[in-house]
Amino acid sequence: MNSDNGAAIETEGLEFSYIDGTKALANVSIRIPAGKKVAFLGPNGAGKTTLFLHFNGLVKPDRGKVYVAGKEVRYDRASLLEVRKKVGIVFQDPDTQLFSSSVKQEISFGPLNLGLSREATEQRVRQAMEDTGILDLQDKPTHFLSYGQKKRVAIADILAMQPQVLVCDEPTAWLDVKHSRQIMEILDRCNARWVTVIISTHDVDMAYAWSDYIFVMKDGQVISEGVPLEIFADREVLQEAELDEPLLFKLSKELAGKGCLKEAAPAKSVEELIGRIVNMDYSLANLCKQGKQLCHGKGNNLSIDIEDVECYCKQVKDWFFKSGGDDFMKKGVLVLGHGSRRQAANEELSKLVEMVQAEMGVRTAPAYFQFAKPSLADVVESFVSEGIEEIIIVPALLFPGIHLMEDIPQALEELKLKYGEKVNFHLTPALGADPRLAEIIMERVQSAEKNLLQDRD
Amino acid sequence: MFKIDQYAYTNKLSAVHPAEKMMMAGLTMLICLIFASPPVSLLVLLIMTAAIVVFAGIPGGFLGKLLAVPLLFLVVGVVTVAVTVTGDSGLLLWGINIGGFAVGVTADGLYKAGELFLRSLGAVSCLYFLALTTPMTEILSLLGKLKLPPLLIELMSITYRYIFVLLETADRIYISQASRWGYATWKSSYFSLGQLLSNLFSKSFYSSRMLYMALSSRCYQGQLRVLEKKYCLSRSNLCLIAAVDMMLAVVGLLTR
Repeated sequence: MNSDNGAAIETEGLEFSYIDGTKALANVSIRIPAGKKVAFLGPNGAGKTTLFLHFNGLVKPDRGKVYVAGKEVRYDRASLLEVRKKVGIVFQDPDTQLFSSSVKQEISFGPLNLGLSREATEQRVRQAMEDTGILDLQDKPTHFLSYGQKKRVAIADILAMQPQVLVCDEPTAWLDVKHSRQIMEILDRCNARWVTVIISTHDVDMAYAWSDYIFVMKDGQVISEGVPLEIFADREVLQEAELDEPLLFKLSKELAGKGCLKEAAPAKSVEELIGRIVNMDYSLANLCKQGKQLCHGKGNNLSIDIEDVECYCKQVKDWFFKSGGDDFMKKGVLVLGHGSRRQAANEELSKLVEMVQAEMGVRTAPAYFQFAKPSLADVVESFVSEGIEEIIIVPALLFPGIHLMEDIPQALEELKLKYGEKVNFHLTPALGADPRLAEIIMERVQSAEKNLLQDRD
Repeated sequence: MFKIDQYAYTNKLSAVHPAEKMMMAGLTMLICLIFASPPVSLLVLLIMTAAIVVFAGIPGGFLGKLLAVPLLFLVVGVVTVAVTVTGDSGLLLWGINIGGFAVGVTADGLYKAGELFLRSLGAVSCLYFLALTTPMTEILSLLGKLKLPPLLIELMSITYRYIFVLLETADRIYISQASRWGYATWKSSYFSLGQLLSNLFSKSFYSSRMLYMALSSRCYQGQLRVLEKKYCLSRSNLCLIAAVDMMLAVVGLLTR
């Protein structure tokens, strides 16, 4: 098989079992895109480390093939040296990797093995130490170093060999926040030089924010792969691999859902998220401005997002308390729907009415424009006969357009003419309508009210 | 042991060419051993103490403690040299008769014991000078220059490096055991120690396998080649070493 230029490493039906029979890898076929930042996510024992050891031929698979830069890995001495020149692995525990007591000698080991001259090695060692920020450690003995420092030396070890692919097994394990950040910055700098960087981690937040591409592993298999947004949007995969949703991803989604985020796409960094938060208030006007649709579907198949309705009910409540007098017995909520030939669609509205009623404990009734009973006029009539003096009209499940633009203002005008000062009408923004129209209708209602007043004068 | 290692890297003579320090320690020790003369041994002890405390800046108390370490062996050794068993009790300065033999100390034996004591301490101080002022890594690279077999040096170097890893691992296991009352009674102590050792063994085994993998990953082909540090020999230091050792040799010849 000949792979194209896009893959840094490719595996084909990789299988590997340990001597005791434990299956570490089962049919792993993946393509790791070149030049990218790639993360392998998965619980302990998922086979990440074992897979990594295959990448430069440290372990020979029971079955299957590995391709590095399109070339099949063969297991004779010369080919292995060639592969290891291209793919460098930083091991998880630096103590197993650092064999020399002198930092500088340690780093010089790789380049010398590549057959470089003393001068060239000297230069590479220096460069690697600069890149990892350990120049000041060069004369220190290895066992004097802290864990974070050892980790950086371990990375410098590999960088000095200038591989095309840098594989890091758990680069931030056991490190504090500051040192983790340092390590990730080092990896970023490598990637900026077109080195493909591959890491394994449990840290979903880091994987989400850092990587370009993610593989999810479980029980020796790659169960999913894709860009971070795809991976973390897939709840099933996350559950299977026992991974949490990244905090940023979750928060962004939540905030976008509440209409508090510019652009709905999840933020990649805390700064980005903060910069995009627009308004933390849940006012209806704001929800509408954010283009928030509280009901879904089209035509006869409208349904309501229950969580959002709860939030909406609170707003209606505010409206309710703000309007008119404080005698609740004299107030009523009228939920006005489009009315459908399909009874099921109308039942959605009844559900909403029940919720508003339960939430506020006041007289609430549905009304429809067409095809269903009762009509707006009927309900107002019955409200008035019950002695209600304030009617809050909640337009819901309406088609944007004709109702909001024409019908409601017109109906409202008629009602106001009919009942005059006996009843006060309040119109809330539309639930489930085009937000731009909601604004227009508010304006129209206000101008209608003004006209009414002028007429009376 | 850790402290010696720390001083080796941080003392005031750490920048001096390791070969000079090795020459100083080696030659002086040789003179001390060859001449076997108490004044020379005493001088060696004094010079080395001065070099360690004054020039290398290592606390005298610490050196004192180090010198006390071989004292136990020395005393035992010296006593056996000083005590003679003889049939002629007239030679003894002091002694007791047991059956037909007399056990005691002779003037000759006493002199020999004193001389041995000083000579040993002198030689030990030379070694301490080297150990306290020269890091192991440099000694190893020097041995490489002296054409010792690479295999031997690599073995030493890896052993040295992994002593620290081993001790650290052992320490961690010990703490975890002790925090769960692993060493509360004699019985549990024996049990815990056994567990510690076997655990340490399996861990070492695993570490060595991982090390081999890590080395292979960096194109290891059977030889640990690394960059050597470059030092410049100092003429004045060499002259000083020559002067000191000449002086010692002269004293040695005169007191023979």
